[in-house]
Amino acid sequence: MDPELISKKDLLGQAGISYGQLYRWKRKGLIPEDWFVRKSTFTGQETFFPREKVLARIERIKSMQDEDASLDEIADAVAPNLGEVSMSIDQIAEKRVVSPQTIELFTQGIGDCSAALMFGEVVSLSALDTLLKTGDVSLDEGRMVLEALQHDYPAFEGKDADLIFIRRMGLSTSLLVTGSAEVRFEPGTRVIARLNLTECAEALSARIK
Amino acid sequence: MVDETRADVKINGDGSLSGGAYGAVTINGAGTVNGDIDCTDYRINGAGTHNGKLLAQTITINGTGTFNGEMQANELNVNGDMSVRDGVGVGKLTIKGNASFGGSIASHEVIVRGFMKTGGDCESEAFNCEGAFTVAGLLNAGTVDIKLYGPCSAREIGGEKISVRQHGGGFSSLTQIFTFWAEKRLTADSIEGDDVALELTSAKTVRGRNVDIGEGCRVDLVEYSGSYTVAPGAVVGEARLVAR
Repeated sequence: MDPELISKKDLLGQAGISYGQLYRWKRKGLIPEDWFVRKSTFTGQETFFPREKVLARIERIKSMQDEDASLDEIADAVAPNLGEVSMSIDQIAEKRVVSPQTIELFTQGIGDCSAALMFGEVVSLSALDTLLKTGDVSLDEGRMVLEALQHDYPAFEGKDADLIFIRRMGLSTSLLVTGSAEVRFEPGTRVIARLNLTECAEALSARIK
Repeated sequence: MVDETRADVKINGDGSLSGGAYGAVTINGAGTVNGDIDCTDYRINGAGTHNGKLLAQTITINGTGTFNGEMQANELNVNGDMSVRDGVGVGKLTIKGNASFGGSIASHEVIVRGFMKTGGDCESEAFNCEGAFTVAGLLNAGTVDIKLYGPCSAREIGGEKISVRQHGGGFSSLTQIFTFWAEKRLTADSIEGDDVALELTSAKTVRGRNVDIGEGCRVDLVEYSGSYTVAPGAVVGEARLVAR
């Protein structure tokens, strides 16, 4: 069995939660739909989860419950509603959500920057910012990443998505895949970064608040 | 939010309506709606076809309704026959007739007194059925309370408290309708909950803390962490006590 997956039964045992809790959390959107991976086993269909993600999430839910947060509050924190937040470029600059270089890159790209940015766009910016800060991605490449994000991130709305940035023989490209997707590249390809956008969004929503 | 300037519209006889924001929309007779509608009250007395999204506080179908689009409402009452191509998000869903959904149902409370069919999942805090249903995916509810009046099936059932009972006799009109139907039985691949009490149920696996397998059940595997009882007439392949 794939070591990165954990069966539902093992998960309940390890995390010390009941079936009822797991289903309740799923209903409330605390555990995303696409973490429930159905696979055939000799006992029939079984459900598996991405081990690290789900254990970390349950840990977070439990610690928030210890602080007496309601399930709805936890849902807002772990799975922020992307549609409701929008910020203008000035606000982003003021709150130092991303570095000035990233903002400059963004404003050069679009020209008109008077419109408020939807949360998804802010997430794109902050993902870009993270990449640029590592120094592994140049400004030119950053522009390309931003284009990819703006073009394709909306298609992943509400889903778990990873941004992958690769380089091979001096050529670089970026791609978006679902969070649980397994991707393999040609030998000689260097994966410069793989960034989970949902985590970016969560970190971002915590920062904005 | 009720906007005072919204107009009420009524189709009496045969007519059509285009999308927009309205007060109360009533179709008496036969009506077709083309476009997305946002209204307070949406009622079909007769036959209605809706091509577009529907957002309403209350939707009532007395007759037949065909919806090609998503639907969102605080309250959805089906007293006739309704089919929805996509999924629905409703506060309270009451089906006293026949309703089928192509997508998934997200609701606070689902009450089935007739027949419900969904091509996706059904999520609700409470699911109460005295009728029959088919859920192609997961039936996920805090409390699942089923009295069997006909064939019920779901791929998976999960929740806190799951109870399946044969109905207690009495001859309501419902009983008569369903007597013609196939066997009264719940069929599921897996049933998982904290407290699970079943009758007349066929399942591959039943997992839970406290599991009570009643009359007429056929279960391949039971896994329980608390208590386990089994009725003399039930067939259980294997029952395992698992650690919690």
